[in-house]
Amino acid sequence: MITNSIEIILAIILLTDIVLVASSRLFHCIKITALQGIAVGLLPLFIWNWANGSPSLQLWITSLVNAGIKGMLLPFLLSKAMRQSAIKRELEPLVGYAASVFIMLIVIVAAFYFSKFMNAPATDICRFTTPTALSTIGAGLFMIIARRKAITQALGFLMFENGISVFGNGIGIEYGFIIELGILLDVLVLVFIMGITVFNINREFSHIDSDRLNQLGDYDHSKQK
Amino acid sequence: MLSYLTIILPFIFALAIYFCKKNEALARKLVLIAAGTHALCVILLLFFNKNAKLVLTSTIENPTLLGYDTLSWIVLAITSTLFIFCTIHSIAWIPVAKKLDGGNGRSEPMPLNVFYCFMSALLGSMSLVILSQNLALTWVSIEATTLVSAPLICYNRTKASLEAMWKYLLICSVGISIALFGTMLLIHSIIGASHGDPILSLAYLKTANFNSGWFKAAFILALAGYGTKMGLAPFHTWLPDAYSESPAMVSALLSGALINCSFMAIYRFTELVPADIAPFCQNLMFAIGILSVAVAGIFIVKQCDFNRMLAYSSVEHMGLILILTAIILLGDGSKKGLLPVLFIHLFAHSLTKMTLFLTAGNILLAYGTRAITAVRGLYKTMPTTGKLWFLGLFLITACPPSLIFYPELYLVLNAPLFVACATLLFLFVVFAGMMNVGVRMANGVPGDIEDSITEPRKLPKGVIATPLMAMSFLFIVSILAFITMLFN
Repeated sequence: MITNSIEIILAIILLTDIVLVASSRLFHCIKITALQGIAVGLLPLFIWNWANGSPSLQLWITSLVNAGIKGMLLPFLLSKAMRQSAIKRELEPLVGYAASVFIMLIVIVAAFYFSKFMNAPATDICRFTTPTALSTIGAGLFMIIARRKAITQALGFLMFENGISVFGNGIGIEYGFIIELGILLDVLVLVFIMGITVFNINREFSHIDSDRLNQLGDYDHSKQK
Repeated sequence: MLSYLTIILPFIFALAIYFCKKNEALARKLVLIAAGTHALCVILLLFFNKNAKLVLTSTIENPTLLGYDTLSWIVLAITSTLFIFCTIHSIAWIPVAKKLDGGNGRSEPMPLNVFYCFMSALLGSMSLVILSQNLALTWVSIEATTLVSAPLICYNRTKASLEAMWKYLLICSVGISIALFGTMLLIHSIIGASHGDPILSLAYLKTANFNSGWFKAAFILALAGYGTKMGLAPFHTWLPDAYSESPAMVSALLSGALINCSFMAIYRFTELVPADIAPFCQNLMFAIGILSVAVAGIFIVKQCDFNRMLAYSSVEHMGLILILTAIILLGDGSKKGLLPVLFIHLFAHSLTKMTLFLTAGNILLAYGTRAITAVRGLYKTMPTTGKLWFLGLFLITACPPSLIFYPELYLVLNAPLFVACATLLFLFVVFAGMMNVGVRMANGVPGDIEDSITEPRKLPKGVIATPLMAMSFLFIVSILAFITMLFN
């Protein structure tokens, strides 16, 4: 029964991956990322073997804080940056949406295929955590590569981070309380700085298309001066 | 206790400096005190270690988060020295740069308290990387260094610096996250870990047995991830942009101190490599190292921006350091005695590169452009800076009596034939490229070729003092080392 609830959470994470690469409205994307963040944050509580009694206070705190930050605070920061830069859609992605979904499916198939080889003892928690983690990592990297807007790239980075955290939960790594919070703080500050940078990029360049950030290069510097 | 103090003090000072918004003089004093106390802590660490031999202080029985061995202490000392030089330079540099409009046209520089706050926080997070004895803590702290150094790149708040900052932030964060994935795979590859073991502690990992297939995957990911931050060749794309756009002291700190910290992480991983896959890992490190030197050589030869040229020189030296590490740690064990050579390379590269970046910053301030063609006749227009610049380029390309000469010599003598030949070939290319730039900029008459500037702005003596001091120190050490070598 417990295994089933883990599978439901993992299915939610996997579905949000697919929906994210297929949606063009930025606000929608941010909401989907928030949903994924909550699912990833609560995952340790579902992985916990409840037959052994209630989990420790530390686990409660880390997973609830994790879900709170990834599901509420980060989406709030990103949507604020989005409103300030007044950009609602990713209109011309470098890879079209239909093609994106197709590539995402290939990534998922590849992830399930590769994770067959990862037969370490620790993965007996649930056999679907590793493929889900690898798919989410792949989806995040794909978002960073295939989208133009700086905000969508930041979302891609968050997905990437979520994937790694699912993998860590799946193989049962315990960092300890301090480091767990340290990782969270890093992600939080990173997204905060990214939000400010997106706002500044928009102010200076009047767009946030990162593929048009090409002023710096190796050979044409003297010509521009 | 003392190692905790080394980390926490800079953060406390950072916080204090941030609240000195109105009182810029106090902010300057506080950042100097931060640099001084940090240096004091580092010196005390040398004298108050438990066994007086600088072996690792974190053990399996007592796996602490922090600890230090000889390498950590040396990298920490380098970081502290560089920070002192950079803060002293910044105190003279910032008012001049404000007066001369940032040296590169329109800019509204970052407030002084914010700048020094981030500088001090960068010192703290770099110390945390160096002293960390836990792989996850290493990851957290390296990410923290990215976060506090990103705003420093954007000091001038121009379009170009914003672009450089975004690239730095995104590329490095993704790279470092890949390294986190590598760390997890490393944990995954431990054979026979029981619940409750300190699996992330270095002391434990050094005695653990690894599944070699998974360790390979972990090592590749960690090398790619931390290699991004260190500026190794296929992952170096952010580096020239960031170094050329940030102010002189920040480029100096990033290239001299921060990439040593990322190197520490790679070194920690390399120490763990099991014997059966050591040849694979060694070849991988050789390949990436040679590629770094090659890329640097190619881009230095055709470079038209002197700051970017220095940035590519950092890529080159990181490649060399990687090759040297592979020879020392992953060979048959007979090369362990070469470890001091690695320390010499780290020390000499950091100090020389810092001097060069500070000097380049002064040239940029006087000429208002980073184009190599614009600068002619430095010997005539800025005699001291011209000499520093040429001497610096001479030392960084490892011409004797440069300290970098010895590591490169030992590298070529001890590497396999193909690696040695390839490295030597590209080292010549780098030397030719940098000397070409150095000679063109230092000699000639101002204005004798098209685009060159005839009347650079005059700089006060204060901004030249720090590079001059650093260079004198370096030169004396080099000469002493050279004499010692001659008589041995």
